[in-house]
Amino acid sequence: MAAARRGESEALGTLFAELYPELRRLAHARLKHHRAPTLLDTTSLVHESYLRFLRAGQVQVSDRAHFLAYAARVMRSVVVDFARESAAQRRGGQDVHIALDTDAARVPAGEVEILRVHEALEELATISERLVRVVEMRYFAGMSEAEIGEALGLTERTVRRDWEKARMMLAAALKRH
Amino acid sequence: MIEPATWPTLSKLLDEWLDLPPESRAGWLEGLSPEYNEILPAFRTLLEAQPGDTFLNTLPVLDGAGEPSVAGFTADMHVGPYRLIRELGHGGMGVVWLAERADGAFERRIALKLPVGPYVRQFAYFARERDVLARLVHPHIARFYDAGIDRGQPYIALEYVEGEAITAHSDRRTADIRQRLNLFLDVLRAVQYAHTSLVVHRDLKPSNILVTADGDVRLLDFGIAKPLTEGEAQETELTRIGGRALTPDYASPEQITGAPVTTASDVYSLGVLLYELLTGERPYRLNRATRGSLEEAIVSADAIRPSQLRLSEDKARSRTSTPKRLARMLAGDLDTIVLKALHKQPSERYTTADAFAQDIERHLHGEAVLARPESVWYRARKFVLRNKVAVSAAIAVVGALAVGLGAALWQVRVVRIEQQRADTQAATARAVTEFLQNDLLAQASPNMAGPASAPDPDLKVRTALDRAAARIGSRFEKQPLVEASIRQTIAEAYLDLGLYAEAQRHFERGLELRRHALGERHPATLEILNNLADTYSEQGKYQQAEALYTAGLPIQRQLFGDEHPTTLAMMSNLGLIYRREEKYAQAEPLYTKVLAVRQRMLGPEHPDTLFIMNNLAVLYTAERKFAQAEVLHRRVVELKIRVLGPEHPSTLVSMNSLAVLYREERNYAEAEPLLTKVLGLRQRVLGEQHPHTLITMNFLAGIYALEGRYAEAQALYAKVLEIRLRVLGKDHPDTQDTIQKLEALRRHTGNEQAERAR
Repeated sequence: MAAARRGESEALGTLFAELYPELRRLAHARLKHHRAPTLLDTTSLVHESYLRFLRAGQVQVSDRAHFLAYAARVMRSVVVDFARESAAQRRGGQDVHIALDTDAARVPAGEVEILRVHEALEELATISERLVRVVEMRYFAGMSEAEIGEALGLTERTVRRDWEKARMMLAAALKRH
Repeated sequence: MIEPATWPTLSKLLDEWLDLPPESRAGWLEGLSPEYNEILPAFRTLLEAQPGDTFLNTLPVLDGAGEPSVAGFTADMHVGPYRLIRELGHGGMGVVWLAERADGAFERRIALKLPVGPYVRQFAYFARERDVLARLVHPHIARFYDAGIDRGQPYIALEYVEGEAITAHSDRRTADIRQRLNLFLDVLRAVQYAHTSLVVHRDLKPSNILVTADGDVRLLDFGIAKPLTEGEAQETELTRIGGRALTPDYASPEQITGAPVTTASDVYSLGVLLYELLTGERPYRLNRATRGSLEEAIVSADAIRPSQLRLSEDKARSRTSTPKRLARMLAGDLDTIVLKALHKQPSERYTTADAFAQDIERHLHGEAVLARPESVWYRARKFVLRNKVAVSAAIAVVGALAVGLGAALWQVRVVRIEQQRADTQAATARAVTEFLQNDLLAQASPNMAGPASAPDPDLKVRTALDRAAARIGSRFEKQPLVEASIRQTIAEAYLDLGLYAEAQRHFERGLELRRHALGERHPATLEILNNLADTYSEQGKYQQAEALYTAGLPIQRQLFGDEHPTTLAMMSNLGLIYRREEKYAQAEPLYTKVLAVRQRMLGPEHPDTLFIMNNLAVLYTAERKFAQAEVLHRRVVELKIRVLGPEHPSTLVSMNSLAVLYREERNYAEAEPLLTKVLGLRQRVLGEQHPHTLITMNFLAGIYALEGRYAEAQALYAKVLEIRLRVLGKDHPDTQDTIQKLEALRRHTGNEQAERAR
């Protein structure tokens, strides 16, 4: 994790590789437990995974903010994969691309929103990486503004401002499609 | 879409806009400076998007479509090269699925372990250990086939075993004590085999030791518990998926305290298992049945003697006995054996699973077991260790007590040997490394040589070896195992140089030392015995090689089983010696056995299988069992062409051998085109002057002669002779052989011409 903070993409990749199946498993367990369509409490999943990695000695207490930032990125992948899978299964196993207009009626709104936000974030990344991070932490991982500020080294006010800007950008992008 | 270059300006405008109270925003926008005109359309688009307050406020609802299993796996899902069939179970570390190869490459179904969570990091372990685990082939150990990572998900492919836990199996069959001990011996043999391959199990427990419907013991998860259990201590109620608590019932004290885990830890777990097999109970009586109190007991409480448990009628009945009879059977040897395995100190347990097994065998045969109860003498010795200040006084006490027990010398020896064993392995490795660095490598290394002796960069390996060997002298008189290992290393180096006599000398001495220090029945003794036998064999000293192999093979079989790769290699080597000695009848059963096992374990196309198949075919030819030889030989050639390729040197060797068979059968019509083909390939692949090319050329010339095509025979012999004269010289036996053949041919054709002329 110390290496990850220094910014090596390899260390990040390693952590991602470990976090991904972990969060995915936790999320699946949660969804299966409920059976019926469920609000996925990604906030608690991310915090649980932090505690788990902490106990396993794979992160330090001082790494918490950074860990949560990475976990948010991973959570985004997990959630997007979920949305893709459940949409695909509803449509008989085909992979879903984001050209959802024609099929929108058959795919629940939640999945559509997630997939389109995900796509819009890829566009947003070319403009401001920081806004993408904020959206990941806020939308996908449900982190508080204080936590986001800590992770990104920003004041809470700036986080709130970034979040507003990102919402406007995303709303515009989603309307365009 | 917004141009990235315009973002800083847009962002600044957005900040200002957001800071304004909503009612002032429209006016602010109207009064905006014309310098922003260019980006104004983009800015307006953003403002018009007008996200509602709830937009992206929470993540939408998702449903778990497709009913994923515990960890999100479903039937028909592909993981690596495997297709999932159905879930077999799940636990703290992940899920196990029944699976098969998706590409149909193998029909067998396998158990696919899918670890989840923080175990992913430990997975790097498998990348390193995969080969070691894959070589762990034993009839009582479930095979490890493969391990990999697919899209971040690690998987481990293992043999799928259907069976029942050893304890449940024994109870259901109401197996008596003797039957249970015999079953347990199978477990010990498998564990011993794994330990000699340097694989520790670390999680031996009844659910990992199954008995199949045929009554065969099968150990699961060998070597994979190590990386997986490391994360287990961190499991919590919060995150555990299967809800099955991981109990430390079979864990050793050092596993609880976090001290280094060794083969002795497996011995301990096996002790708990034996305890349970014999009594149906666990070794410790707990005040409270909590994990904490169990861990405490494992670390500090004394196990109850099996014979002193008050066993119920039920437990006794499932052992075809009564409580009283059972207690009598357990008292004495079995108590002692079990408690020795359960010793808190790893060094006081059986040092190997084999030693454990031997004591049980002794008990079964009514012989005295080697394990001793914790005697007064033993406790006195511990006292000495604890109070080193008073050593000399204490030794007197020990002596007196030991004599009082009436078996003083014998006991002292047993203890001393075990003490040595406990600390010599690491010490030996260290001493060997030191010797090699200081006495062998330093001779040539400028970094290592002292100022007194200048390094010699041109030093020949041979000279360095000779010097190092000379330095062994009597330096290691008190460390026979160190000396044996050094001699073994030096001998192997000599062997690489083709210096057989020197290699032989050091192997011989090494074998002697190990026999004396470790006994015949020890893997290290066997290893050097094999080295020496090979060395004899290379030198053509077949009688000596045969004697060694025939002495070592039964021990090898006992220690490692009939199907261990080394056992098979020894049988194959012995077979070769028998063949060279023309003891065909003795060679054949060895070869057929090795072939059968390898076909089953490695598959019909494995290079080792093809190797032994080829040798058996050659043997059949020598025995003049032509029909069998031909079937096998054709099959070998066919397989080698397919598996290794038509031009592989090994394929050519088999084709050449097949031609020998045809010649023996006087089937020159088949032999000649085959040899012509081999010759062409060897000329191209190996070159004109390669010894193998010349052998085939010589051989083909002989066939021409046998066919009566003398002119062609003569021309080819002449060509061989020309090359051999040039490459080998006139005096080389091969050159001489060709000269003689050529002369014989000339005499023969001369005679024929003379006949015709007459």
